[in-house]
Amino acid sequence: MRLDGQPGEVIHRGTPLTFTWNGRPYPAFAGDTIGSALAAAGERVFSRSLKYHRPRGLLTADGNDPGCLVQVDGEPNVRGAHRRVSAGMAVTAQGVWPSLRFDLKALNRLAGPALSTGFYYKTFIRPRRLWPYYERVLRRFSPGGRVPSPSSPAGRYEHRYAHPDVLVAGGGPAGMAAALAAAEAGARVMLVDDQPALGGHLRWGGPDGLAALAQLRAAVAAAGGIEVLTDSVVTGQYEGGLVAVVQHGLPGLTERLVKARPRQLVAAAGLIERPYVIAGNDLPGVMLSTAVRRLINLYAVRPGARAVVFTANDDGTAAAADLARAGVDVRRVVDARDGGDIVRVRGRGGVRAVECGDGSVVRCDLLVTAVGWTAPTGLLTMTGGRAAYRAGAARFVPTELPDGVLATGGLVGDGTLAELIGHGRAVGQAAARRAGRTAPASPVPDLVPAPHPELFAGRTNGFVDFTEDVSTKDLAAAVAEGYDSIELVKRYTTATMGPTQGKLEAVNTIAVVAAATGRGIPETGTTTARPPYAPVSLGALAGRNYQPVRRSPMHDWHVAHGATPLVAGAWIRPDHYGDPAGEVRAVRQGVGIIDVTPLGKFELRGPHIPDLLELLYVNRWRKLAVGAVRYGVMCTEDGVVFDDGVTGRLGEHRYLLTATSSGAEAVGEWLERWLQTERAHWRVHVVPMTDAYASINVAGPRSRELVRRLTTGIDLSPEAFPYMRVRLGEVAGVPDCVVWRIGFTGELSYELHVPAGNGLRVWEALLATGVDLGVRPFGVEAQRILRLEKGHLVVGQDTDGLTQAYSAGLDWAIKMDKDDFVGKPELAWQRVRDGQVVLVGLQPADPELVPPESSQLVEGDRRIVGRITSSRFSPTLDRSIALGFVAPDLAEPGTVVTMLLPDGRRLPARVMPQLAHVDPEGKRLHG
Amino acid sequence: MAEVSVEVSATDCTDLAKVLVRADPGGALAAALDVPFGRAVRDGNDALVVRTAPDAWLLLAAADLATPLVRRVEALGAGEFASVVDVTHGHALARLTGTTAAVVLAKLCAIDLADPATPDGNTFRSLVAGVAVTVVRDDARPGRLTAGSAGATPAGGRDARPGRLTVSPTASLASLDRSDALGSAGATPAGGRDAERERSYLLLCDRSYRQYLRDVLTDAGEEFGLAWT
Amino acid sequence: MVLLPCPHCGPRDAAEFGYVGERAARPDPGAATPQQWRGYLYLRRNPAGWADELWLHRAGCGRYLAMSRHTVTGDIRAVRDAATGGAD
Repeated sequence: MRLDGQPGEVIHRGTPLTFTWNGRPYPAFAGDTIGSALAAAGERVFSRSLKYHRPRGLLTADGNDPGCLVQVDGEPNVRGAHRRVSAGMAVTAQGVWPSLRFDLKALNRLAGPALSTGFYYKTFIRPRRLWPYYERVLRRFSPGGRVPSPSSPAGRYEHRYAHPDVLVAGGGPAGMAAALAAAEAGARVMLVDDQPALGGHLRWGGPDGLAALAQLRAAVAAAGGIEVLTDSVVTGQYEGGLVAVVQHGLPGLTERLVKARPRQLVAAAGLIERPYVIAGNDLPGVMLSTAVRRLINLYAVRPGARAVVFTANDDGTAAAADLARAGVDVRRVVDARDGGDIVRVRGRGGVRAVECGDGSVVRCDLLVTAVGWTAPTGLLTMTGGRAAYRAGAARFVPTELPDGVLATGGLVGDGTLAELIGHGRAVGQAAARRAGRTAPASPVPDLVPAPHPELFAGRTNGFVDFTEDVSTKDLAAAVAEGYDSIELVKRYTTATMGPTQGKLEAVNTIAVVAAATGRGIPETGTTTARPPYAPVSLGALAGRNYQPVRRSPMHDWHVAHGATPLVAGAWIRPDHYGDPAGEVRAVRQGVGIIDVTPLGKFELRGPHIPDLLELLYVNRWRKLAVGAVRYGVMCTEDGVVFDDGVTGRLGEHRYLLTATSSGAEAVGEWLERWLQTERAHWRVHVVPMTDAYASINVAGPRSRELVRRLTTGIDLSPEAFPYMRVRLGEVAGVPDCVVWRIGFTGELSYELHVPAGNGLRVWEALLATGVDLGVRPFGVEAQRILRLEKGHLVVGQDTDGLTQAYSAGLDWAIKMDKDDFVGKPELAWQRVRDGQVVLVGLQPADPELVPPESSQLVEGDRRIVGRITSSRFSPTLDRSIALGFVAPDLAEPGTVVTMLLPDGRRLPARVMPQLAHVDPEGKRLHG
Repeated sequence: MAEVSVEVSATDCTDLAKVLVRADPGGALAAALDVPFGRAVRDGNDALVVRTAPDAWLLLAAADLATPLVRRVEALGAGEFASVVDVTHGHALARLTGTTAAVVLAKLCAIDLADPATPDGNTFRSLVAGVAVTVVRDDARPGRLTAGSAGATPAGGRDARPGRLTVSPTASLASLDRSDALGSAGATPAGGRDAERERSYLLLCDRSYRQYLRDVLTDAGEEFGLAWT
Repeated sequence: MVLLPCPHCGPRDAAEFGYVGERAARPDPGAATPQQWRGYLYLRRNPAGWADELWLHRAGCGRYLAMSRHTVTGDIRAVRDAATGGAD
């Protein structure tokens, strides 16, 4: 029921809203949470529990409430007592069938013994063949909401980095005081609180607190250096001091993850109230004192009609006063400090009566408990701090904190408002000093937890973990079965493993286990706290999911001309333009151009270049003349082929080194590694130029004519410009181009390296000028076919992580008479070893059959003798062709080997006399 | 709906001349360039000299100044082992300017951008949206390098709108002496009110990431109405 | 998350770096036996303690760094540019 205006209420009566709950419309005010609006309307049951499907209502009326997890529109597992209502919101209960009120899954309670703790280790296991059926049934009964369908609109999640001097986790009075003091000293402060507004318990603690609250809020707003993040939670501190904060409630954003590196972290997380463990303690109508004070003071909701209050501290007494003020009939106040106790709560579907320790039974619809406080030390222990149990205060408190972490407020101890603020100020000053600012060095006063009786579980068995439906009986059973350490009990019973992650139930669990094992609470200890402290959505962790993409200067042209994209690492390349076979024919018969910009390119400068090349390549380089180009093979120290490419000498101390596109980054790092770590005295500079040149390969019998038409300053006649030479000149009016004659495709071809800003111009000029020559663009697929027809290996395709150079048929390149080159020792040993596989050309007997790459080559039933590394249909030969590895005894040309296809067929293929299938003498290349 | 005010803008400056210099940190060329690691300084000849590594510098200048710049530096480095390479085409360059430029960049980059850590004139290389980017904080006006050539006529002098300034031959770069370019380190108002000042950052990445960088800046700047000029 | 102290750039997020491997002295390739050479290629101390490692500040200054790092605690007691010669 809604009360009249309360001094600290956060609802805006001038802004009424409507939302639906299980399909029916309900009224609310702006500022209401789902839980408070429904409570105002008299609703008491919001969910059904995990295992037994018991009806549950509000217990804490805040973000930790275990009874109020609901589905909101498409979003599952929303904390209904924390999420504010918005107009038109559709809220439904989770995990119930057919409805919240008549949940047939509650029949689970009849299966009680079969669902006792650890049941999934004991039941529904045999017979094994029935498990798929068990699984289907059990899935129906699993809790949680429904995941949104893939077609529902995605949220927007962002990341942000922040570097405050001081990050204060918690915006209650101590936290605000700490932030203010730090900001006064000139520190950059970030103040985080999970509520929509700062204030902590001052917000609902009564009119005295409200006046102080207004002052503190005004001071924070006026202070220059405090960034306030409300509706936000510090979810953990990670290695290196990284603190994660998840921000909600931002316009246009679903959530934002702030990755902060504060110099100092101040934990001011306050206190969390504990429930009392007795029979019936999960009935709708059982609430904590803080719950009723929030409902009354923040949301103007009367939580019940007739109440019993069980208290062990002054906060419970204050709650009783608030209840009376709100018109609740407080029928009995049982005070534990006077020896009072309550035994059980009676009712079905809701509280009907409370049985007290003296035997009396009081009829009521609301039981309010105030039996103690838990300091949320999880964040502190995540940072490496420690906490210890103080029996006199019935609470764990922080004891040691690492450098960079401080604590203040209720988390540390109790005091008057002035004492809390004084402590916060002193801690804030200390934080500012440690962060390098100048602040008064006032000593931090003591803040000691107040004495409090130890009240965890009463005389009857009750629920310890509400979200996981774990009771004292379950804990006792676990201990009896031998799971008597707290870490084992947690995992076996799942206590503290639910959405509240121990905030409400850890201490009660420890106390019950301690009693069951006969050890004390300190000896029982706590489980390890790990991030995240509060639930985090996967979206928040993912952020905008930026994926780097690399594009050549001709990218848009390829897209506009119908290229099918090929993702190669971060690059997008044109795979083909609709007809790869036609592209192959164009190159063999006329001329084609391909964008090979991703090719690795490195400008080398310096007198020691030949030394570097001789060291890292297997070939010789000292006699390479200016204007000459050589193909090189690079191995790693184990003799395995690492990369290949051509290098040309452009000037006395200037070379252009190329590497494969996929190996470009690795080769760049390899070059630098040797120069920096092993040969720092060599005078060589390596300048990456992969992106600086747009690279175009012009290939085909008419390529010379086409290139001649566009170049200036280069004599293209075969005598002046033979195969494997490089020239500098102007192409299509673009100066500083590198042109060399190489031959990956096996045809007469020229590779143009054009300053990238002019790449498109040259590309389009080639196409425009070569129309009469039949010029066509060709893509990566056609290039693959062309090079395969010529038997040119691709490192990483026709070689693998074990292929040493002699296996790849690269004997001719390896110059063993060099003093030292990377891979030499292993290659020397490989050369004299037997049994090396050999790379050969293969042609399947059936010319129409294109064997899938990686098909094995076999002999009989037991021996794998090789595999197909590259395989395509050749438009030039009109039949299938391949490259592959075979055992040396089968490598003789003419040998028939058996291919084992993935579909199980065994089909023959013939070993060819050379790797090249087309023009084996290479006549076309040298034309 | 209220009009979104433009608190940040971006300009593509990829055409600017870029010259990479590699030389011994203890040599004469290093002494002549005279910029410590992590700083960027205007030299007296229309170039922004960015010290990117202990033994590397990147010089930025108006688009048509690449060749004279290479010649000038080669001359300074004659007599020692030094490499001067025109890398104008190898990198994309974007300038991000506005009162919220640092806020936008802080969504993409983990480096502390506040004045004490990254004052005007500082440079660093780090990851921006997963790509290695050299960032130069270059608030300096007038004469702020954007696109265009040294020979272009100035776009109306000291224009208040970011991204509209070009380098003009008459721009008084000489008046922008070294101490100015070293930034206002130490002059930060206590507590970080620096958010209200306009800041400008140059972002340099490998050219192939040009479109990607544009896309991520646009996405991160959407909140503040980022416009490309 | 973890910060690594680049001697040139200062402390930077580990994502900027590449771990190259445990540093090992390269034997004389002309004199090493196959066992010695393969020990250099494949065998590492792999201690639960202080390790000599080679890192690359890939997305930063691009320099190779020699780091003495404790593999259990993550502490780093020394880091230098790998080019500044000398045995350690």
